[in-house]
Amino acid sequence: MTDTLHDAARGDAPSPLGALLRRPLRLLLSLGAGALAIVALLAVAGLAFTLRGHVDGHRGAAEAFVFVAPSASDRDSIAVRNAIAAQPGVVEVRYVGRDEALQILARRFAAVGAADPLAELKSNPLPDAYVATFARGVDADGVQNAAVELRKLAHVEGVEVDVDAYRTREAARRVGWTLGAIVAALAAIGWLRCLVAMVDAVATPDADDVRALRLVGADEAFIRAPAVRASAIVGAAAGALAALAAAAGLRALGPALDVCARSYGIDVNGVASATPAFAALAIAAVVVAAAGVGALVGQLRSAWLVRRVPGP
Amino acid sequence: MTTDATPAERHLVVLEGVEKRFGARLAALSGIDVAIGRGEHVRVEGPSGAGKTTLLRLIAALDAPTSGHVAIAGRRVESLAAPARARLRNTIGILLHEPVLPSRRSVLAAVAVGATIAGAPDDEAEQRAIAALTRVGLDPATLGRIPCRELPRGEARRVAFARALVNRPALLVLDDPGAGLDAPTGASLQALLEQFAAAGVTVVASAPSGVPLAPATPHMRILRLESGRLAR
Repeated sequence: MTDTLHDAARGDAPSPLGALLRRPLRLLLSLGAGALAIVALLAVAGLAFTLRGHVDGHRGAAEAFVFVAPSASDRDSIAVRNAIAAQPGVVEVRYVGRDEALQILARRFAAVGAADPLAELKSNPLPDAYVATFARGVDADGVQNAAVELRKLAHVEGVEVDVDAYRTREAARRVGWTLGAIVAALAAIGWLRCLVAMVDAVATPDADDVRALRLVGADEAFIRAPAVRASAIVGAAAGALAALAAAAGLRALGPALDVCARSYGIDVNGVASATPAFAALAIAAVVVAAAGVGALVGQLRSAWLVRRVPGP
Repeated sequence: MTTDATPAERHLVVLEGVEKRFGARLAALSGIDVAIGRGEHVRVEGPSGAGKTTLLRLIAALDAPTSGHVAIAGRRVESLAAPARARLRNTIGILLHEPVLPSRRSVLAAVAVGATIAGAPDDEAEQRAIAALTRVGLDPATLGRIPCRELPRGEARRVAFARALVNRPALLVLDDPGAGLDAPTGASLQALLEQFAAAGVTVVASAPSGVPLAPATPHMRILRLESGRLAR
């Protein structure tokens, strides 16, 4: 048989990818949507990776500042520290200089508009103070009660708790988490929509083809297979685009990111100055993962669309 | 086959108490009991709306009955999962009233895909498609690369018939096989069906409504439907 008929029997089944290549604008939109979704994911992952060592699980928890009496010896100071640690609800005790403790408290009281109750303490030059951090679940009354107990300890001159500031922080945290969850949900919906847009052009089935294939006994997997393959290829292309865009973005914004991060005590050198070898591996990993995501999304999308084709 | 064999084992197609409803009120078929043996040539006759197409779709495993049982080669269609029903359909040669061809595939690809689904390698699928097209009087070299959407209706129907033959089925289910064909072509197709039946293929074909029918051949069995029921 002639090569012409060989080609006809094998090669000219409708190709979703071929159809997409003939529509460059649609191709650009598909790749753009996919690259946007992948870049967003890379940004979130990069941020999480960079900040992982800087997240303090106790940040925002209630704290009590215990000022050790001037007459206390080093042994007495250690005994006070141990007694603080033994208090119910206390998860961490750390030493701070007295001046630093006063500054922190002054900021917190000022933040909630309270008067400075520490004036009588400022005249004492001795440096010992301990900050007792309470577990997250301890309420303001519990903190106050713990402060009363801490004041009874020997060699303790005074105890200050930032209950009002704590209440403010807790309220802000709850509002923040709620709003954050809403924003995250909307972002997730947008992200998924971008992924679907990436594969829509190749996952949308030809209705005639679906009906004809069903008639001759093709199962759903056979009908979907070209769309899944094409979605994987589009995913890989979008992944490559996203990885290159992310690398270019880091290179362009690296110095500025570094300055911003250092102002918060965060070192971003590990991300912004990746060696070429690592970057090539990272790009390859992104491309492979994106191909997998493309195939999965294509599988799900084409399954849904194929089911909507009626008949034969 | 032993005398103790069940109807499903003795016959290729068995319908027992079959009813098919579309919606709550309309019963397209009711009380259908029929057994079709291997190698039988059956013509389903009846006026328009009698249920001929509905009956053929049940026999072709395209639909399941609302109640009752349809067994093909001993397997109950209504109890098969979708993938198993698809595999069963791949072994049946089906020609619907509309050709149902994939508009963007070439003629050869449209015919060969049935063999590919059956597991034939590409070369064998291609050869089967060429043989099937030749059998129905079409020239594969001329038509092979043409997209199905460019075919005139009569040729589209013959391509659909070739597709039904590509897997050498034991059962052919044809809804008005002569539709859209001129008289000579229709007659040659009818003769082809007689040859298949003589070769042991079970042929179940519906006759058109409202036109004079060709006389039944001696080996042909007539099933007449009226208002969804078999006339005795």
